Parts: sequence; structure tokens; C-alpha cells
Amino acid sequence: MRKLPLFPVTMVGSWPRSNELLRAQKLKRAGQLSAAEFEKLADEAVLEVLRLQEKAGVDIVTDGEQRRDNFYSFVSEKLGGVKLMTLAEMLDIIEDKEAFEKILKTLDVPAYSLSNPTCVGKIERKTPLALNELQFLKKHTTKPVKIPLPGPYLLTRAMFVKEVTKKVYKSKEELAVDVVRILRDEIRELIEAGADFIQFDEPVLTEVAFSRGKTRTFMCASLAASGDPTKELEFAVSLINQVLEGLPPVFTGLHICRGNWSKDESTLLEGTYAPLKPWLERLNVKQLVLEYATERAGDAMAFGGKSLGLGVCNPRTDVIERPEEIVEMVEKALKLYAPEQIYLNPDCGFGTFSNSPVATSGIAALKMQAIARAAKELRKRNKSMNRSK
Amino acid sequence: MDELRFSARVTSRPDGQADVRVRKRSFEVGAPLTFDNAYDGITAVEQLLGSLGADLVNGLLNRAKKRRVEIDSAEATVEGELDNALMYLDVVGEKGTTAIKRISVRLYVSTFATAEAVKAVWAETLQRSPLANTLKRAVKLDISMKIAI
Repeated sequence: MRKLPLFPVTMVGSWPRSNELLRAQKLKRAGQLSAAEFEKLADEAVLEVLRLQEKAGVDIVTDGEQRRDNFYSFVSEKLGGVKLMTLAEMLDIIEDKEAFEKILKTLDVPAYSLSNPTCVGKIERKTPLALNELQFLKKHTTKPVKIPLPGPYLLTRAMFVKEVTKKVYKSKEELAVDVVRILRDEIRELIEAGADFIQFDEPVLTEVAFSRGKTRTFMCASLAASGDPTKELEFAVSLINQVLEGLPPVFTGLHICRGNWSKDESTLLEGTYAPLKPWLERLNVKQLVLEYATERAGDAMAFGGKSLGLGVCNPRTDVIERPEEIVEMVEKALKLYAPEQIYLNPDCGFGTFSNSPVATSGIAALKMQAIARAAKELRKRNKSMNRSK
Repeated sequence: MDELRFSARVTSRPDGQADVRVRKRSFEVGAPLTFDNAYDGITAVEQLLGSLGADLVNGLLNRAKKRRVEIDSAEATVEGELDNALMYLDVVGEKGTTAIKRISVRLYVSTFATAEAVKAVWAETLQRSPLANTLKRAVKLDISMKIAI
């Protein structure tokens, strides 16, 4: 990656979409707006999000996932053999309807508002997943670019809906072989095109670790009936490492959180990273992008050989964190990490699901500004500390 | 006035289901209620809850159309709670009734219209809902609405 200042400020991924863009997304899905017309509107939206990030002082930018409906289901447009199904449609085919009803009730959302990329045929890349996002950003910014991608475990688990997928793939492991191949192809192209930071989103890992015996809350089809957490985590580690094995060097991260669908913190998962630590440390990624602004995540902990994307603001609250508070959080993390190992980011995206963002664009901008101010102060302190040494 | 009366003819079948005929249409209903998730039929209680949801969802969309408020879709979840389910199972010594004591409805509306416009249409819908207005005389009826894009 290009040279960065200490405590680089970055996003996790998404930025709230404008109503105009959301309407366009709906019209495109209904076939009433062409892909080209949508992309034109999305280009404008990305430029606005880019402008807001640059103004806020973000060091590594994203495109705010403006072209995506959410962080993973957008792949259904890019992959052959994958159909975007609303939960309302899935309720007609899945066996465990009761579990899905519980999920919907917990999320307090209608079944038509959630969509899942469901594998209905042999999967293949029709177009790259995120290369267009990177190319567009590169044309319009000189800042390093982060590309968030859905991780292989998330994709495999979400896409494998046994009632329809088993006609093509006998098992999730068989589907995973193609998922890994597709992601490797994508990453190779992203590296060639100059991606600075590739982040895998694997939020479902917390579902595996923390939701045993509780109502599952993540919209991920097969997980509603998944089994042994240890086996699931082993599977996840193996897939992520297979994706990265032997690829040209690039800065990679893995983001996990405990849910970002509601401002009601009581509906979200809770637990420290301790149960996940043995698996997270075995991942061949360079950075763990973790939420810590929420108390539900517990105190910062060290992970061998990894740098930290430290979540310092909660995207779900309207209160803007004070830079001093953020500095204090970072000071605590500095007891476990060297300054050059710490990046600053929000706990998660500001608009993970396009139709139910957890923040407004205004709040997102103010929170990123607060992080950037804290980063400035930390750089100043670090400089004077080095001088005094 | 005959136009104020509505009727259905319900005929039993040997398989435990009943055929319901209304005007020129028919549908089937099963047991009064069931605690068995694998039961292969739609119970009378489920029909009632579904009917209330449909009354509100379709009522809202029809009324919105009249008022030229654009609503993309609506969905309701309807939950009913029995006073004492064990009475239905003939458990000896149980007290209470098999009546539904509470029904809660959560209605989701997908729209880009203003919240004020949707709330006004929703208020009209509730005012004119045949089932909600009937049921609220008999049970505790909690109805809430959430606007989602």
C-alpha cells in the first residue's frame, strides 16, 4: 500500500444512499430503469460520497457501496447461477419457516425487504464483482482505495439454500470450491488494477460464535440451521486462506461485527472476540477490522501478527463521538499495538442495508470528521513522544 | 339491507378440512387451531389472523391509491395469543377460556411518500377496517405501523 500517515482513517464500507438512488435501485430491479441509467446516477452518488470523505479527512476511501443494495447480495447481479430472492420468496421454499419468522421478528423488518443471493445453478462470474467500483474511484481520487468484498464463508453460507442449491451442488463444500475460485479471480484483477486495501466482510462469524441457543439474527439462509460452531469456524478459516493463498501481495483485512441492522442495540449480538481469537489469528489477512465503540464487543485485545482496524465510532447512534473520547480509546489500544499497527474506522458501515441505513449522510460525515480530528491529535502526540525519546 | 350482509357456506369433509364457499369462490380451512407445526392445513385461527392482516394491508393500498399516495408494498405480521391454550387441549383443572385475548399487528410499508401522507392514509384505513373495528370490541388489539423504504 502507498505510504500512509500514522493512524490512517478509513471506512468499513457503506455510506447511506440518497432517496433518489434508492428509488433508482428499485426501478432497476423492477426493470423500469436500465443498468446504464442506474450507473450514471450511482456515479454521481459515489462522487458525492468521495467528496464527503475527502472533506472529512479520510485517508483510505471507499465508494460507500453506492452501487450495491447491501454488502453481499449485490453479487447476484454479477454472478451467473445466482438469483436474488426476497425472504418472502424464500419462505415458500425453505423447510425451517419458523426460524426465518423469528429472524424477521427480531430484525423488525418485512420479508420483502430482505434479499438473499441464492445459488440456483452452477455459479460463474458474468462480470467482475467490484472491479468497476475500483476503476471509477481511481479515476476520481488520488487517495488509497479500500474495496470491501463479501468473504467466501458468508457467500457460501448465504448462497447455499439446500432446497434449491442441492440440485446443482451436493454440499456447501462443493459450492465453496467455485466461490473460492471466483474470489481469487476477482482479487487478482483488483490487485492488477491497483487496489490498496481489500477487505473481506464476514459478519456471520459472530453469529456462529455468539448466537448458540439464541434466535439467529443474521439474514443468511443456511445458518438458520447450521451446526457445530467449531466446524463452521474451521470451514471459514480454510476458505479465507484458500482465497488468499499464493496471490500477489496486497493489504488485506477481515471485518466482523455483531450486526448493523438496527439502532436498537438490544437486538444485536454481544460478546468479546475471545471465542473467535484462535481462528482469527490463523487467517492470512494483515488486518482485523473490528468494532470496539460498542460496549457489546468488550475490551480491545491483541491478535498475533495482525494489525487492527479499530472501531472508534458507533454508526448506529446519533451522538457524535468527541475526538478526545476517540483518542482515549486509541491510547488504550496502544498498550497492545504499535502506533503503525492501528487504523481508525467506524464499527461498521453507515448504510449496510441500503433500504434501512443506520445513519444519515450528515451523521456519517460528522463521525468521520471526529475520527480524523482524533487521528490528527494522535499523530501530534506520537511525534512529540518520539522527539522526547 | 341485503348489501350489508355477507355470507359463507362451510361444508365438512371426511379429511377434517372444511370447504368454504363465498360468492363464486371457495377455499379450505382445517382444525380450529393446532399446536403441531407439521399439521397440514390452515386453521381457523390462522385464517382469522391472516384475514385481519389482509384487511389492513389491502385496505391501506386501496386507500393510498385513492389519495394518490404512492406505496410500493406493505406487509403485516399478525400474532394472536390465547387466554388459555390448555383449555383447548382439555387439560383437567385448567381455568379460563380458549378465547384470543390479544392480537398484535405490525404493519410495514415500503414507500417514498412523506411520513405524514402515509400516516394520514393509515389512520383512514384503521377507521374503515371492518375486521379491526370488530375485533377491537372483543380483544386487546395492538396495531403499529413502520415505514421502510
